[in-house]
Order: sequence, then structure tokens, then C-alpha cells
Amino acid sequence: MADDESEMLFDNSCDDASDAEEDDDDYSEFEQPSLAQAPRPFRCLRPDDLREMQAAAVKRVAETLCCEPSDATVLLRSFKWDAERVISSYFENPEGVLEKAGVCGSSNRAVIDAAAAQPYQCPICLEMVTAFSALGCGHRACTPCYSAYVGHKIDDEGTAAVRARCPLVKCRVQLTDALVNALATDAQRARYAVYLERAFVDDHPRLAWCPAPSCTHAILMVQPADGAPLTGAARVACACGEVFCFACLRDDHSPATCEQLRLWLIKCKDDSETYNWLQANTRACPACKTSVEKSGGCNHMTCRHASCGHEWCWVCAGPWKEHSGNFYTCNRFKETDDEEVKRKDLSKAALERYLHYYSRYINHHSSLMLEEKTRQAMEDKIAEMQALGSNWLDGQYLKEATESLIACRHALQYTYVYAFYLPADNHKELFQMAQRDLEMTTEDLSAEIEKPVEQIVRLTVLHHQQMSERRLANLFNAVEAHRVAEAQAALEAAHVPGALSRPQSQA
Amino acid sequence: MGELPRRIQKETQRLLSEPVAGISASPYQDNLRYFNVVLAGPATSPFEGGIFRLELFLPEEYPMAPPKVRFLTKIYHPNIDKLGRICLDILKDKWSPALQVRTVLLSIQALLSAPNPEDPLDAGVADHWKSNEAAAIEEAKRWTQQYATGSLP
Ligand SMILES: [Zn+2]
Ligand SMILES: [Zn+2]
Ligand SMILES: [Zn+2]
Ligand SMILES: [Zn+2]
Repeated sequence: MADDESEMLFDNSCDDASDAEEDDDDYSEFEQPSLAQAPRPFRCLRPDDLREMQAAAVKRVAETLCCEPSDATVLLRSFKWDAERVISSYFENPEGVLEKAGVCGSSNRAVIDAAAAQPYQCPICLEMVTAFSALGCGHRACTPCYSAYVGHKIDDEGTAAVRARCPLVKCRVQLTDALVNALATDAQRARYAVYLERAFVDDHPRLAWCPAPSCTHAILMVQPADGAPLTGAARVACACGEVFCFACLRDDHSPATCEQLRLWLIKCKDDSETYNWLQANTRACPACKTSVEKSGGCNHMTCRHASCGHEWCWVCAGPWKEHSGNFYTCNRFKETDDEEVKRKDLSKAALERYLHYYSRYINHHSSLMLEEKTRQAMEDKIAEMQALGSNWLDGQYLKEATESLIACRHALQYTYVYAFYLPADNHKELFQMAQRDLEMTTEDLSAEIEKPVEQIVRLTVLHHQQMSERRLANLFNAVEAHRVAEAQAALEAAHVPGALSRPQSQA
Repeated sequence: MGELPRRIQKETQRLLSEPVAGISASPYQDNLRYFNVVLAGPATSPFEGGIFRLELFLPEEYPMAPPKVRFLTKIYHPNIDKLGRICLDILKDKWSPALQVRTVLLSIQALLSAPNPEDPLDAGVADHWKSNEAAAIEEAKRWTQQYATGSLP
């Protein structure tokens, strides 16, 4: 059973060397128009920065609209903290904006613990009382009841407390932070402040909390000059070292899109459990069947069995000598052209196709795990080099090379998610070429720095590292160029229905 | 459990002295926060003529938190599930401490008059209601005759 599956998995690509392409020279990369590779600018904000940013927005709105800061806060919350939109919308339609946000006009102030001229029945405790508190809507409740209400919202409703409303039935007026702070206990006030801060980041479309468990920083995407909305994945790095996608808060997954990753993870959850063995760290040598353990991240396997010494690829089990130059096709899935076969076993074909991408995805993933170990081992290696007589600085290039290697593996992992969802077209061809190039040089780099210290050749490492970095950039450029072209095409299709040619620009 | 809050005492007194038409609610002697509720199916609804039993409990946080209410009599209604749980906004996020047991029971009575299959609790019943309202109403009438057979105290 397991044997059948491994056959099915590993026999589909490495024997195909027909894809001739004169590209052995490391420097003849296919050229992409040089696109701005600069990632979208972002800033990492500490809790103090967040408070400052929030206070500045409140001040701006309160001063421009001549309103209480606590009302400005409620208004800002209903406009996702876009101060300029609050202001322009307010001048267009003041009543509508106040109504929608649940704010009372400045003529109706909140009252905290005042005495009514006549006793009235508190709608909460049902006693006849004179003391009362009320928001601008004028709905009175006795102060102890109002405090109990505010306290209940904070203690029992968590972050939702920041959107709590007047306690009266169907009244939409929002509790203000001024009223909450006047009526809550010290402990509740402190929790409420935390909720306000959390809500600020959650509501603000250009802010996101760093997902690292103990980190208190948030990332602010800088507003593009053209005011274009933020869409799609964006790699951001927190000051704490966490690197993540701003849009979906998952691991940085470029070049795959957030949606591709979402679908992929669902698919993996459904399909992959049976194939967990793919992650196992030992496999039989294809030549002599002795089991060989994978110790580093490098996929170039050499059988240690006395008489064997067979060199093979961990991923596809094909001979390693086919993994260089023109012969390298390990990254592509050979789609069958045989219509008969296609019809006969669609589901088997779909599974094979999935497993092709999945096995490579998970392999880079596991290699990455091993690479983390490499990162630590590298420190030891550098120490060893010093012992062999080189100075500390001399060893640092290995650290940088390790970081490059990790970046390449990281991207390679997600290239298989991206490729899985690509239609078979010209772009996919180009992409797979870039992927292949990157994969080859990444393996070279990995192999070189995993060697014993005395065998590592500095120039070789630097060469592979430079190649890897350049090819990584090429790959991202190809993806970005394609994305821009697609967006452009979609735009044109929307503007000129049915038109095949680009619209002529009017001079 | 501490002393019964004055608000609950007041509400109970009024429920007993000025009952709402078609609704009876009386606390159990051993737990004054736990009410036995009997509700007459509203006229011109499929539940007309039926007598429905419910239980109502006032939690410790009441009136900051809503009462917990559940039908004990089986009922065929898109907003009430097999366990008798009721889908009604004022029993969840639209709760206000200015609402009372009396207003809650009136809202439940109104829900029997106007089922809302667009916001269903029991998807099967709601689908029936949307696809063939007449047949669903007939089914509700049958259930009323079969199960809602008590009498108002
Ligand atoms: Zn009161
Ligand atoms: Zn109000
Ligand atoms: Zn962080
Ligand atoms: Zn994402």
C-alpha cells in the first residue's frame, strides 16, 4: 500500500528531460522589466505610539467639529478612525453622521450623578429616586444602576464593551469614554482602556496587531500617496522579529495570495493526514533500499551504505545527476496529455497533481525546520572556524548565507501553493522556470554550507548566495509583473466591454 | 444565593396582581428566581387554542443579563427549536436592563403571532415555512392540537 503510493508520487517528473532550454550559464536569467521591488511601506508602533496616534485623531476631530473628545472618539470609531472622512461627512450631513454613529449633538451633554427636581422611577431598579446619570439622549437611570450597567458591560462583554449603548430599550446612543470613566471602578477603568486600545487597532484598516504571542506592537501600513486602498497580501516585519502577512496575519506567504493560502490550508487539512509520512526523516535509498536519514535541509542525498554511494533527490527520488542544468524538472508536475487516461481516472489524477505540489511544499517546509537548526549550528561552525585560525568577522558571511537560504526556502515553500492554483499558460511556464532556477541554486547553497567547516569554500558560498538572491528577486518580479498585467486587463475589460485592444489614450 | 433583589420582588408582585391577558407567570416557592409560565396561543395564529408551558429563570446578573426562557411544550415554529430554545433578539444582544419579565413574555407572545423564517433557529421548520407556508401552518396547528393541551391556571 505505502509502496504503491510512493511509486505514484515519485515517478512523474524526473525522467522527463525534454524541456530543453539553454540556461546553463548562471547569469543568463530571463530579464523582467525592473519593477519597484520595494514592499509597501509600513511602521512598527509601540503601545505609546498607538496612544499618541489615537489621541491625535481625536484631537483633530474634536477641534474641527468643536465637540467633546469622547464624542469625537465615538464618531471616529464609526468611521474606522479616518479623521478626514469624519470631518467631510459631518459637514455634508451633520444629523445623519451623528445619528449613524450614535452621538448626541453638542447641545445635549451627558449628565453624571445629578439630582432631578422631581423623584422619578429608575427604569432599572424600579425605585423612586432623584439621583440620576444620563447620556446626551437624556435617558435617566439612577447612578448606582448606571454604574452597575457600565460595570457589567466591561466585566462580562469584553471588547464589545466599547460599543455598548444607552441602557434604555432601543436607544442607539453610544456610551462615551467620559461617562464610563466617571462611573466605573478603577479596575474596570483600566480594563476599559485596554479594550479601547484593542478596538482602535482592530477597527483601523491600516493597523494590525503583531501575531507573536507576547508582542504588544502593531503594524501601521503607510497610506499610499494616491490614496489607493490596501488590498492583498503584504509582507511586514515587526520590531520583535515576527514576519507576517498584514492582510491575513498568517506566515508571510508570498508569492501565494491570501486566498490561495486559505484554500490550500483547508485542502491540506482535508487531504494530508494520510500522507504525514512525507514528513518522516528517513527514506529508503532508491538503489540499495538502505534507509537514509535526512540530517540537514539539503535535498541532495548520498547513500552511506558501503558499496552503494548512490546520489539521489529526496523529493522525487530521481538520480541527483539529473538535477542540474537543463535536466532539472523536479519542480514541475507533468500534466498528462492522454485524453483517455485523463477521462479514466480524473480523481486519481487530481490526487497525484495535489500530491506533487504538496510533497514539495511540505518538503521545503520541513527543510526550513531543519534550517532553523542550521542557524544554531552555524554559530558553532563559526566558532570552530575561529579555532582553526580565522577571525570572527571572517565567519559572518556564513550567517548571512544562512539567512538567504532561509528566505529562499520560505518563498519556495509558497511557490508550490501559488503554482498549484495557476492555470496552465505562458505565465505558469515562466514561473516554473524561475522556480526551478531558484530551487536549484537554493539546493546548491544548502549543500555548500552544510559541509564540514574545512571543506566550505567561501567564494562558492558567496556565488550561490548571490545567485539565490537574484533568482528570488526574479521570481517575485515575474509574479508582480503578472499581477499588474492581470489587474490592468481586468480594468480595461471593465471599462471597454468587448473591446480587444487597449483603449487609445487621448493626448 | 443572596436575598431576592427588590426589583425582582416588585416585578413578581405586579405580575401576580396585574397579570397580562393570556399569560400567567408565577415563581416557584423554593426558588423565587424560577418562574412557571403558561401562555395562551394568540388568536388568529396557528397556535390559537393552545396552552403552552415555559420555564423562565432570572440569573444572578439580572437585570443586567437577560432572563433565560424556554418552551416546555412542543411547538412547531421557525424561531423555536426542538429543545424549546427561543431565537429572540431581546433575549440576546438587544437585551436592555429596562426590559422586564412582563415585556419579555409579551414579545414571545408576539413572536407566536408573527413567525420570522428569515432568522431561523430550526432550519428545517424555517425551510418548510418559506417553501410552503400553508402546509407549515397546518403542521403547526396539528402540533398545537396534539401537544398544547393544558389549561390556564
Ligand atoms: Zn436605579
Ligand atoms: Zn438613551
Ligand atoms: Zn511583534
Ligand atoms: Zn495573507
